[in-house]
Amino acid sequence: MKATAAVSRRTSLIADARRSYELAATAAGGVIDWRFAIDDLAVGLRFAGMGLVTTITQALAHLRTTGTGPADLEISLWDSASTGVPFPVEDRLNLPAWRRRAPSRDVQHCDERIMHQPYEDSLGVLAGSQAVYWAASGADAPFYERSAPLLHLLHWWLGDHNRLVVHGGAVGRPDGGVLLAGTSGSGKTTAALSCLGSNLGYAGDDYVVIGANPPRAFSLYRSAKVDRLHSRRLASLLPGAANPDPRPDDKALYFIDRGLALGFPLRAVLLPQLVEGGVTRIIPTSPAHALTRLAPSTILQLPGIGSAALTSMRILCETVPAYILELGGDIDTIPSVINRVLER
Amino acid sequence: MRFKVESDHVVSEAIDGEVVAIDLASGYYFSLTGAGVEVWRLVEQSATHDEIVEGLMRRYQGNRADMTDAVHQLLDQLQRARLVISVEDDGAPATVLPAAVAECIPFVPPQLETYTDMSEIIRMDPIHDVDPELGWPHPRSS
Repeated sequence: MKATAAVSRRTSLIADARRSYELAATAAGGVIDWRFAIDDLAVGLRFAGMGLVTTITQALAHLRTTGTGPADLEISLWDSASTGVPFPVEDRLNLPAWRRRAPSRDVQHCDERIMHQPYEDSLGVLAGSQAVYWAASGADAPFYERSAPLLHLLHWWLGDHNRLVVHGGAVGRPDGGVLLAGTSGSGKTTAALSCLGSNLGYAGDDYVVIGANPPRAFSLYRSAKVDRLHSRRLASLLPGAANPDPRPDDKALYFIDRGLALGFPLRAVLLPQLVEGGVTRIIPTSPAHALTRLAPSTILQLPGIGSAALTSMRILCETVPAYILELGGDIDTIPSVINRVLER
Repeated sequence: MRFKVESDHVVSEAIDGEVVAIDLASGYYFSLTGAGVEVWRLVEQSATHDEIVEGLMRRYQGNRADMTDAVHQLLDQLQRARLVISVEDDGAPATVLPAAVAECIPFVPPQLETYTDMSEIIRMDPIHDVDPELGWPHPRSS
């Protein structure tokens, strides 16, 4: 009976949430439209008031477009702090939702895909080309939410459109670029940010979108999360931090405003690896090694399309060569090392 | 008895002479090499132990006893890792075995590597295991 009740409530969740969103829009005095595009796909954001606008759009500003007409995905957004309208389900913990962890069978089989983030107190629902996003408060969003807003909704929806959000960075130039894959702390951010000011555009340090036939990378967020040690090392390349007084273990958050690349053909997968005192160089490695560095962290962080995602990443790793990118102390040489990969 | 991949929570792909498998429930991921790639391919078709041994005999040089032992050990490992389950043989059509090749390649025993470095984040309960001050993805220190 418990499962049946959950299914019953789940099937109406987006309708309930949209009704609350309409109330919030009325309370806020209107809707703010904001549109962006990833490759040729248009996403329309409809904010009920200003409460979430800055929190959500800062990392997406480089993708903003002025198009009109129906978007491919429309997301309705509101927060309770500024509108006074709560989420329609008070007992959110009993929703059959993903919570940044492995999906249960129940969640896998539902038509509406739900991501509930209890710690952040936010919830996103996707059903086809419609989505709703709610947060208790925009001002209280942690730095990692501001750096990658709407991540799970976009991940699921792009997966429905033959694109895949992967856990990786990417840098490149119009004729080609590289995907930087590896777990947190492997050096993805150092490698990506060290290219600012070079001929290699910055498409992201933590999550980017990949497409196939031919393989391409697309920027998703212009953010960068940097630990304090590395932010000092990269200081000359970075703008001011968006969270100038981070908590002790928080990373500094930056929104990159120059040297950005929206997309490019993918020519290689690089696996950064920090090497104490060595010189920056590349070493050829196997497609299987690339897949083990790219796929588990992507699939385990971004639940919901595991099998199709793994296939997409396998095809990518079979299509382009893979190299270990040993990062020595000479980060200034990283762009030239990557350029040499692109000349091969 | 037939052997099947735990498809409820395991995803896998073969690439470059290796199988990469990810357990979505535990966060563990695995690399299977050598003759294990062919074993996995047959398990994906719900093969029996004997069918798997026969499939290996058609591809590899080596004696049946060695392959039988290797298959037995690997299936045991795969079941303990919760990647594979055994089910009663329901009389379904026999697995289509690979055609015998003219020149078999040397038998390389299966090798299963287990990686656990991603599991902590996956298994963390976002309500109770997260550090109250630092938030996700920092685990509670005690």
